[in-house]
Amino acid sequence: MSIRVENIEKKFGQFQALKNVSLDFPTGELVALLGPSGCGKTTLLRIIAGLENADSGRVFLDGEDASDTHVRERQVGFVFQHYALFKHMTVFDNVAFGLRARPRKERPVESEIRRKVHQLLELVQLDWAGDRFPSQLSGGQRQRIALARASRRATCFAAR
Amino acid sequence: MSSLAVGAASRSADAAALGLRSPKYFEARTATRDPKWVKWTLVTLGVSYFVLFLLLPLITVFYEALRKGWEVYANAIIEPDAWSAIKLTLIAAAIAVPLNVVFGLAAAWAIAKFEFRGKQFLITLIDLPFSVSPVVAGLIYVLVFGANGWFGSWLRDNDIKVIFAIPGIILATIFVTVPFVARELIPLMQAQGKEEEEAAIVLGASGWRVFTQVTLPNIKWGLIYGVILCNARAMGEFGAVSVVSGHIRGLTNTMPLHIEILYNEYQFAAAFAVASLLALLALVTLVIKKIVEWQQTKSIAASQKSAL
Ligand SMILES: Nc1ncnc2c1ncn2[C@@H]1O[C@H](COP(=O)(O)OP(=O)(O)O)[C@@H](O)[C@H]1O
Repeated sequence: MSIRVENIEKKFGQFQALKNVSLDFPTGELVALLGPSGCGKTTLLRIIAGLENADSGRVFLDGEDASDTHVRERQVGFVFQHYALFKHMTVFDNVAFGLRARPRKERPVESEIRRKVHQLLELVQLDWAGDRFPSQLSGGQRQRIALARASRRATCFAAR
Repeated sequence: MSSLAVGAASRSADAAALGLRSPKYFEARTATRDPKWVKWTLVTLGVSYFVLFLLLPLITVFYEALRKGWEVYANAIIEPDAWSAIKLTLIAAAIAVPLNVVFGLAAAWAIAKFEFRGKQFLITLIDLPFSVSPVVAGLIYVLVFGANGWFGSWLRDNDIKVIFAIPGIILATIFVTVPFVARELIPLMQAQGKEEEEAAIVLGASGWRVFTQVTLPNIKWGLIYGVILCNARAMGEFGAVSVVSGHIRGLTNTMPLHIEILYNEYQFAAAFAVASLLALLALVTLVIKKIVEWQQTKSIAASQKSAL
């Protein structure tokens, strides 16, 4: 999935967080946003994901204007700064959440969900941790779970 | 990096195992040990205070209620007026508590997860029933819905009775219980932030799914706690309900009001019998509350223990 942002502006009250930001992320490329703390990296990623509204400017996902698409339909994966794993769910249920949340028609059957979740957990080398709760994992392991959970649509990453 | 983290974790595990923060450890160290007489004076003082002012009255209620035997006790409770008071109390609670849950959830959600103008005002407003005397609350309803009140003539024309009738009692009960659930949930939800909800939405979950599978499990214990306290107050409220009730026997008397009437008529055994029921409800509430707290600490401890 390619991402393009055009002329993004964002103000928090009087504070200008983003000013005229235009960027192009081609499909399949690994891009890192670097900058001092507070320069607006998270804000830009939140706008791309749809968690924040830009004051002006456009977001294109796969060439299509997604500026007015709801977060739910944008199909981006997002790893939160503090991972935001669901505390009360097992690692397995965390990773399965996105699959189970799909509309009934698109939802895979439970055995298919199991297969996919195990595959993702294997990918991050945490297949053994499926029955654990997030609080039982180290910080790095939690990050990998967050990654596995976000990648179930295998589209794009917007990690910190 | 990871080994460092493990080291820190096991150190705090040792601390937990030793009970570093428990009074036992505090006491075992000579450096922090108080003289024996200080400890025992304080313990005696504290215990006798609570026995005198809390336990003794409670025991008296049950003692007085049963002094003339079980038959008098049972008769006082199955007597029609008492029975109708019990029913009215349960009805008022059954309406006030669910409303309180819905309103409390909505208010706490709005305050914790959104930014809007008038937020501070709303938080202050929720506390109003705590700071205003229940009698005043009752009077407000009389002023608004009473025969000479703002809507008095309209209500009379439409043959609706609010004051000196069941609706007034329910309204007064709702008024005094407004803060319970909201007060319990606001700090909890503020502390939890909205990252988990955002994560769920990004993963494609519908609003309802986010609420039932992410938000609700996170606030479960706080919510139950608020409901318990709200229920206790709804059943025990006297002041506000007394003003709007009109004390019509068998019709608009709740349990606390019924007890007062019996007492004023020197029917002590009957008064204490009904009072013991109310006290029993309070005790049941306390036990449930204790269980909830215990479950809460257990689940926290479990997640911490297995985290090490
Ligand atoms: N919700 C918000 N309200 C007000 N200011 C915000 C908000 N979110 C971010 N900011 C401000 O916007 C700036 C950029 O923040 P952020 O994107 O998180 O920075 P980065 O991720 O680059 O460290 C910061 O100065 C921060 O204080």
